[in-house]
Formats: sequence, C-alpha cells, structure tokens
Amino acid sequence: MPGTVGDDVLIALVLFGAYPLVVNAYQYLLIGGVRWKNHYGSVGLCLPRVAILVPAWNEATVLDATIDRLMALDYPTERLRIYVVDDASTDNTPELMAAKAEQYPGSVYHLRRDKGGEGKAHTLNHGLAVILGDDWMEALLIMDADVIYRTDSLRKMTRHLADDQVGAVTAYIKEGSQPSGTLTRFIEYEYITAQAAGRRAQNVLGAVACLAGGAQLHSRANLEALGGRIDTSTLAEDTCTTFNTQLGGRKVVFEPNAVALAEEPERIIGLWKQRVRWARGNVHVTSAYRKVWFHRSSVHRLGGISFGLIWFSIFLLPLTMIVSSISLVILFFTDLANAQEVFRALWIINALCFVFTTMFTLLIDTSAGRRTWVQGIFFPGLISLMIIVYACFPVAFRWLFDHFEDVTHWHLSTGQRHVFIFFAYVWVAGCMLAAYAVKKVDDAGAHRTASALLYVVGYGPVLCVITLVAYIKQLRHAEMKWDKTEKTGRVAVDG
Amino acid sequence: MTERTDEEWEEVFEEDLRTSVANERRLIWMELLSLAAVAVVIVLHFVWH
Repeated sequence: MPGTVGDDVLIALVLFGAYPLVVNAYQYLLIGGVRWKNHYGSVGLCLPRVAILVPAWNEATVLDATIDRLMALDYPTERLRIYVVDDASTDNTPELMAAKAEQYPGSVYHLRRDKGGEGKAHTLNHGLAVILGDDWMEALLIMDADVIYRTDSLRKMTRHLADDQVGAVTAYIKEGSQPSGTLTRFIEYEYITAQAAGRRAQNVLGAVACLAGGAQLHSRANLEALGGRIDTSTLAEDTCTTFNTQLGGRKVVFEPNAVALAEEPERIIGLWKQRVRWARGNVHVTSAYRKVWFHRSSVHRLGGISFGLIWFSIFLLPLTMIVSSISLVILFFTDLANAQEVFRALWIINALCFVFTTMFTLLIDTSAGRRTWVQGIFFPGLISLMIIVYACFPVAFRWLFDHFEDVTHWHLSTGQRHVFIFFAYVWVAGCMLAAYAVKKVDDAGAHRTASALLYVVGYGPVLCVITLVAYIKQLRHAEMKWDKTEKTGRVAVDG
Repeated sequence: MTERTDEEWEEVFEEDLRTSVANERRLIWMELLSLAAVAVVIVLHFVWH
C-alpha cells in the first residue's frame, strides 16, 4: 500500500482502532499463566472473625433472603457478624431488621443513619466507625444488599488472608437474575469477560484494578492502614480503595472460585445510570492516579506497562473508535484503494481477537457460557458481525451478495456499493450513535424493540457510548449523583 | 453457619484448595483450544480469500 506520509499516518490511526481488542486478547493470553502464577501457594486455613457490612437503602425486598443466606454460610458460627447500615430507609427495613436481629441474636445488627442519600461511601463509613470501635473484627466483608453468596465463598476468600501481605480479596460476582432477559444475559456474559477472565489476568500481573463493590474482604490491618474509612469524594470508591491498598504495598487477590450472585439491571436505562456512574468514577481515577500509570515501583505493580495498557484500552475505547472511523472516512475520499485494504486489515485483526476472546470466555465459565453464548456472539452486534464476515471471507461474502442480487433482482450500482462501504467506515464509531438511539427507544417504553435492536447494534457499543457520555459529563463537571440501582430480589440461589 | 472440629475444617480447606488449583490448571487447555479456533479462522480466511 504505497502512499504519502499523510496516508501512512491515516493508516496508522485506522489501525489504532484495533488497540482495545488486541490488548484484550493479550489480557486473555495472560490467563493461562495462572497455572504457574497464582496465590494458592500462600494460602492456609484461615477463619478470622468476619464482620459483614451491608449498606442498605430501601432494600427490604432483598434483605430478608440475603441475611438468611449469609447465616447459612459454611463458616464457624461464632466468627460471623452481620451489620446492616440502614441509610434512612423509608420502607419497612427497620421492622425487618428488628425481626432479623431477634431471629439471629448476637449475629445480626441494625445500624440506622438519621440522614441518608449521601452515597454508598458515607453509609459504609457509618458502619466502619462502629465495627472498628472494638477489636472483635479481624476481617471485614463489604457487600451489597442484593448479593447472594454461595455457601463456600467466604471461606475461600479468607484463606488468602493467611498471607499477611494480602490486604484485600475479591470474589467472582455473577449476574444471577431469574428469569433472565436479554440485557441480563448480556451482562452475565460481560461479567465472565470482566471478572472470570479479566481479573484472573490481573492476578497474573499482580495488580488488580477493582475490588467488586459487592464482594470485598479486607484484613483489619488494611482497613486501619486506609484510615478506617472509605473515600467519599469519588463515584469510584471501590477502585480508589483497591488502588490505595496496593499503593500501600498490600496485595489484592481475585478469588475466582468464590462466587457471589448479584441482581443487575433488566432495562437499558438502569444499566445506563449504573455504568455512567462507574465510567465517571474511572475517569476520575485515571486523573487522580496519573502519577501511577507506567511508572514502575518496587512497592506495587499498578505502574506496570501491561496493566497500564489494559486500563487505557478500556478508558480510550470510544476515542480509538472515533479516530479510526474519521481516518477511514478521510481515506475514503482521498485514497479509496488504501482505505479498503486498511479497513479489511482492521477488521481481520478485530475478528481474530474476537474469536479468541469469545471462545475462551465461553470455556472459562461453562455454566454461564451455555446460557449466554448467543449474547457472546452478538456482543459486537449483527452489523459488525457482517463486516467481520466481509473482511475475513470476502469471496464467501461476495458469493452471498451475488446470490442475494440474483434472488431479489436488486443490482447495486458502483455508487450504491460505495454508499455501503462508506456506511461500514462510519459504523466503526457510528455504532455508538446507534447504541444511544437504542437507549432512547428503551426510554420511550419500547423495551422489546430495544432488546431486539441490542442484537443488531451490539451490547459492546452501548458500553462504549456510556464511556463517551461519562467523558462529556466529567468535562462539563456535571453534578456527581449517586443513582442507586434498583433491586427487586430476582437473584436465584444456585448453591 | 457451621460447627466443625479443627480437623474437619482442615479437611475442608484441603479439598477446597485441591479443586481450586485444578480449576486454574485446566485454563491453559481452554486457552490452547481458543487459539486453535483462531487458527481455523486463519486457514478459512486463506481458503476463501
């Protein structure tokens, strides 16, 4: 593809669009390393006195089952206490908690805040002040009110605290809604990629990006080193806690065999609110810890090149798509032959990464994979899948297209073919606009249509546009609101 | 919550550890299988190019 320097720059910018998927594939390649590099060589029988901290605001519908499940954990009876911090709930949480405290005397405690609605971190700090007030607690499990733990989960987490270099342990949170819908299945698949896969790779790197908000176990020493409180100045308090733990020289471990089930949004609007909050938090973290990135340290691994590449592959995702798409459009008008070559190269790279990561994702957690393989395949959306087929198998695609023309007697002119090509170039970033339109369709109440469109446009583009919206909100210094995700008790117990 | 003797907890710990390590060890084969799928796509790409 000989061309001018300008063309070469544009080609490089187009291929920049492959950066997120290439890095994601690299992350997946690391996973096999857990065979040799894992924390199981340092675990031991460790059953500390665990205080479980459950922040709750109007969670009466889920708290009953959650507390019963916590009391059924396979863990020594006298070594477990549950503290529910009621964030000035207006439902029947106080009455429910009074009944639970009576049902489990000495094990279940109800702490009530007079003023609520300030956010999860404030609620957690209320409980932390009480729990750290005496020396009973040796480890603290922070969780969400809707999360249901498998009975063996807690003991599988605490075993890592036998290594006193470990400050915190997190579990594998799975989407557990029953019955599951289109969106919850997409989320279930996404959680395999982000947790079962992504956090395993981070274990290998020795740097974990985030303790799951619904399952983070801290040693008392770690909490005290963190000042005994959670950062209230950010929407990403879980990530800040994770980073501060590791910056202080204490390890964070992801335990994939400790499983907890959570209820996730079944409507796009709910997902939107939740993820914009998360993404804005990540924008804040990227800026707040700017001195950490790509600066190696003898104390922690957060400054490693691999960890930085992985973090920024997610952070820069919308930007790479926009830059790649604009470069393709410019090439379309200036050098169509080069544009077609580099477009195919981009999508062949993306396709190979997609095949590898999708196949591996479905194999990592086969039970979830059996439920979500359709969502895994349609994660990028039908339109992007068609572009992948076109890029990888042009002869087969042309055969299909010719067949289509013969059957329909609809023959495309060269100009019409160029319109299709132009659409494909714009789609690299335009899929985010389409994803935004899907959200608007859902907002309008057409949930079934929105679910169907999710397969066409893709769940991945929805996550990308959410990140883009988070950038914009941060740049505008929009108000940081704690939009709590509504929970209705749909999680089904499976073990 | 559970009542067990120290020996019983030790047995539970050993069994948990054995299954966890086995789960992690098998991942390398899953990875190789996934890479094989990529190889198939590459071959098909050249066959249908």
